[in-house]
Amino acid sequence: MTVSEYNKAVDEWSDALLRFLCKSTGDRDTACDLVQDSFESLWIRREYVEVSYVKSWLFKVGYRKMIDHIRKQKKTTELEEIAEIKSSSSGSEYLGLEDVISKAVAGLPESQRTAVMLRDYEGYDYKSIAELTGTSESQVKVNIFRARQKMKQMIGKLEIVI
Amino acid sequence: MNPEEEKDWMLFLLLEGELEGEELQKVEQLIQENAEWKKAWDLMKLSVLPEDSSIALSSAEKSILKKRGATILPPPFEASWMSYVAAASVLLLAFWYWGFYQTGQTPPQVVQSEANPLLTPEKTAPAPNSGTIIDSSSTPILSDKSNLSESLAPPTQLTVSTKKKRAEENIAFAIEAEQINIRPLDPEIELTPSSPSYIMPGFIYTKTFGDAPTNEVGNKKMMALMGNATEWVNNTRRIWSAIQDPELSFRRVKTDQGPGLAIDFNSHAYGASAQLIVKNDFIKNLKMQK
Repeated sequence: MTVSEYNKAVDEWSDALLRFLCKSTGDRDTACDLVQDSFESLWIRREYVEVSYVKSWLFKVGYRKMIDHIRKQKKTTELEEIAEIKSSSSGSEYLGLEDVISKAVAGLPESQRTAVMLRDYEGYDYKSIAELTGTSESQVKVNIFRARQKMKQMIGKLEIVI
Repeated sequence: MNPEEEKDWMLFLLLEGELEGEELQKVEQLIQENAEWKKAWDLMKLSVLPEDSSIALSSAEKSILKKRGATILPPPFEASWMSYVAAASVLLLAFWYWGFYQTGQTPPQVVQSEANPLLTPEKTAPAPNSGTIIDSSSTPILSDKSNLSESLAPPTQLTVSTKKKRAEENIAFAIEAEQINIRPLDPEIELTPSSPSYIMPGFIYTKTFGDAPTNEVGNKKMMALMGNATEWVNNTRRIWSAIQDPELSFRRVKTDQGPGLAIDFNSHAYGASAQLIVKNDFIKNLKMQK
């Protein structure tokens, strides 16, 4: 990978990676750091990464770094608890569909959230998501199903949407 | 699965485009005819995350991620730039050695840590002479060559430090050369064996990552600064042949000793950094001599 190919990868995939990591961690600054780390890893490894696989490589590295970060910060449960609190307190206030969906996504367990985001935002198939997250295709499918089911239930609670 | 869950599962498969034939017709018919299925289907469709372009990096943030080699220099110039940097670095080390040769001093020996080299903070060899540091950009100060010859002491000190650069997989293995002779930028000053020594503190380090044999890489780099002049040049050539996409940057620095110019070199496997500093006491001495 040449310097220009690397810079092109920054233009093409940095926003998508940031969005994925931002929605996963719930914190833009953390997501920015992870994006930077991911691209730094790409730069170091650029000789071994084929241009056609750059996107999946970046997401794989970004995902692993995000998991490491969450584990280090011991935020896995905290994030879910926060999201749980937020989602449970949302009944009394007016929320648009996008807000509801955002809160619903934030309230999902990490494996379900990652699977559904990669599916919907990035258009990955089950196989790619499985490779990226290190799980089986069937598990990915179940995760996406559970995610959609929970989101459907949350959206369904809001009469305003219906 | 209970009936509700089974309904969700079928709607999920429909949403994912995995239903075919009779199953597909059956579900579509249920949605059309059954209000509950219709409502559930409408909700299931909403579970698809909408496109969100609100989260994006600013152009400034992107430019930080990008590598400047490509933006500053068009591709046709990259090869010549590499050659230039490589040649300059070989010269730099050669001149360093030349300084010792001229002054009849023993070249510095690399102090190697006996403990784990990746975790040892720093070791320093003794420094018989302190050496004077001069900023090559200070043309007026450099105008009097005879004064410089007397004022500048030869390089005598080499510091080796090994440090863990990051807590993660990237580890920097640093060798610091406190004083390295370098050719001044002033075109009026010729660098000959009789020219004064221009002293440049700097260091060269290797980056190791992933499965790379850390110690082996570190030792290779250390070899570059040991042995006789021929070995230095040969080792340096070997290093530079491995360098790709080098970046060179300059920045102003202010130190306790005086103002200066820092030069940073970075590439895939090797990096170097140096500072040219005008020592405050050196400026004072020159003024007094005048």
